[in-house]
Amino acid sequence: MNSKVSVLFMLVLVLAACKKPEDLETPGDTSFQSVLTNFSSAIPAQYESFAEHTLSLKLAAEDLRTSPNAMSLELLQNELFETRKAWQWICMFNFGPAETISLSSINTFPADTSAIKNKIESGTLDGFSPDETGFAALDFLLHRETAFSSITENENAAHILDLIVNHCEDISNKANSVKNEWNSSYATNFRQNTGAAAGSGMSLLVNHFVICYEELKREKVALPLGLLTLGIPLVDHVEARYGAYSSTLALEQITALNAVFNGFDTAEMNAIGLAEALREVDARYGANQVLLDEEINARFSVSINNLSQLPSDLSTFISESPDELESIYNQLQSTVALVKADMPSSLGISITFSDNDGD
Amino acid sequence: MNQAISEHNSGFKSVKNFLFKPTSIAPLITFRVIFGALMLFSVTRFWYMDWIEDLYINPEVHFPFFGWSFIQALPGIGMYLVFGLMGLAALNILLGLFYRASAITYFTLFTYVELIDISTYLNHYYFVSLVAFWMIWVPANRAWSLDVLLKPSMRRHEVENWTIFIFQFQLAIVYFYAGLAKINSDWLLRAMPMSIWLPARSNMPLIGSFLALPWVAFVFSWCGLLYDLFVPFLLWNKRARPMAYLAVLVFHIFTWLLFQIGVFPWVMIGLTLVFFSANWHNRVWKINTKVQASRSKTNRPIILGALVIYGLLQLLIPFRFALYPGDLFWKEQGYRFSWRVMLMEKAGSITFKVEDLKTSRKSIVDHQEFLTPLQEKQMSTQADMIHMTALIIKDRYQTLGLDSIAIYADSFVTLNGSGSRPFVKSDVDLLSLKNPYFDRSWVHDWE
Repeated sequence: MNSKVSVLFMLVLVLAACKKPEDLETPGDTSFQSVLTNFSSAIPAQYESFAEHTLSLKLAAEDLRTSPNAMSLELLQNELFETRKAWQWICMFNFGPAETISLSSINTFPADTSAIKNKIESGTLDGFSPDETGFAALDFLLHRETAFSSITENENAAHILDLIVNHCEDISNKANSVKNEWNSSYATNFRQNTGAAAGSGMSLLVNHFVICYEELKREKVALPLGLLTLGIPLVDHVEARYGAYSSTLALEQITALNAVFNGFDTAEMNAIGLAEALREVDARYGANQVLLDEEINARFSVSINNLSQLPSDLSTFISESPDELESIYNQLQSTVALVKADMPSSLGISITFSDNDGD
Repeated sequence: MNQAISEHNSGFKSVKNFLFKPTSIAPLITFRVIFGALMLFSVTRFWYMDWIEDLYINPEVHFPFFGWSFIQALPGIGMYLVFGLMGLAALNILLGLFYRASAITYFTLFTYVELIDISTYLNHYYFVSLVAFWMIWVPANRAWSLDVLLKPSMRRHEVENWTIFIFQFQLAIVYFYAGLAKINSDWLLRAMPMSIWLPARSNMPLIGSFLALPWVAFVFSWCGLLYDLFVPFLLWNKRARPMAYLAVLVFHIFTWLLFQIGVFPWVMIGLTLVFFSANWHNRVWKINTKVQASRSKTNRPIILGALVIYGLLQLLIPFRFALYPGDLFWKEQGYRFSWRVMLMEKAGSITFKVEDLKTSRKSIVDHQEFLTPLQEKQMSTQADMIHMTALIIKDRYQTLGLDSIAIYADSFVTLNGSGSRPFVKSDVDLLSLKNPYFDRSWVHDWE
């Protein structure tokens, strides 16, 4: 009797294992593969575009050094703005080559302005920590009240110009190095790294998407608004304090996140993103069992609309209408469970590497 | 009346005869060698993966088991020493050198490490702790060991049957209770969580494309259930054993290929050999039990008492969930130490909020600042860990000079594809709870 049972289920197992894949319909099995294929070309394209912006940034910085005047300063300021906007389209891909060289350190904010001033006094070009270089430092050097006089009249003007060029070069070098890695081999690795295990392409994509979304909500909104500091605002902690376009960058970032979620919904791409993967497994949400990807998209739309209503300078807005910004934060927060719990769980994705026994 | 007593006595006698009858030491040798080798491999792998650093050195805080908060991770190179010693002890168990001391060392260190942090809890580790405990008490070094080489008078060909049966019993408990736990509607009627996990592995060569088919999740679920429930009994049955062991191989190789479960499949494949007959093991180790060798004297009443108590505990502990109200998978009271494996795809998201009761000022807590991703992941779905996090936050605020605070949590959990739902009641001050471990009324009910 016992042996019969064992034979029976062994048979089922063996039969199941031996059935030829070609004979069977294959719903779903290609979804992660096509997501990875799409992103293995879309991500390098984003890095390509970012690297181009950083090159223009570097060239504009060199022009400023050659002829420091109001026009060349304004040109560099514009390049910085464009580069920082382009950054929002790659910050969710902080894995692989970007993680290896800590690319995200170039967007460390707020800048340590007193340390930067000390570095200027001392005349050094080395030994900069992340909050003394990168975008936030450039923001300070190019947009502070004394920006123009500091590069024209100041006794340290030549050194400040060298610093500006160095920081821009550094950003450009890092961007190029990540872009080159993606183009040479990482895109292929990424595409072939299928499945849902920790470290797979899909796990990296989803995990860093979530991290990036949480950073947007925490670093760009909650922190300056004082939500992490017992309601005491830290207006200096906004992303582009001196250029005064913080909310433009936040809007750009959530727009980019939404685009990534939908697989870059542009004409030339296939638009197979995380949303498509969720549709593939028929992920549902809430009592009414709405499609999870539609719910996430709906909430993103509200947040995009909210952020687009804001004046570009967030620091002033925080002082003037903190309650309004808090309700925008709450809307951003309401999406977290959906992207952080529902999305990876519906896709069966592991984030952590350690062993589990499946609970 | 007398008859009843004598029947009772004879039943008792036959149990005693069964447990203490002499049998070949060979299965115990196989068990010792495989256990030692796998534990040595496991320690090495843990070290190589940098998990000592990631799980025990880097985390700022740990989540102790209820009543075990005095267990702390060691500072400096302490944890490396622990793992180094553990590896040495495993090697010595494998070789049968300073066996008893090595078994005690291994059990103590392994259990110590497992008690440091709930977020690393695995049923598999609990199993290893239990096996390591019994390794202390069995004479597994009385043949094919360096101990015997050093002191030939120790050599034995026969041991008491309980020294082998205890491991069969333990393995049977693991399988059978894992099977019982699968008898629930999610597993049987919705094929959850297999319906989520298998399609996510459709990248596998050969079998990948059919893993995405809905009926396959049902086949896996039902086969897994039947396997777990019946395989120990089939392994005990002489005629069914070869087929059952084939099933062991197929089942565990499948789980090894499909899931991120480390060395556990190999542990089960290796250790279930203990069900094989003494003759089979005798051939492996060329042991001839007909050759006389002196018997050891053991304290039978104590051993019998210990075995009975242990057996009852193992049979009862997995049922303790019945003492708690509320859904087992949702509130997880009585979930651990019960061989509930592969049952849940559970994920959560949580935000803690602090209110300074003196000024009524409120603050969100960035718990990622002091929790590792693994701790955060485990904590966000397990109520006891959520409460412990609140206590950690309280300590951190105290060092900032805020000693009169309330802590609330906004949390959402999705269980087996349910879609995320509110988990902890967001209007409950977690610091005001009198008995958070046993009384989980501060967690929303399931449904």
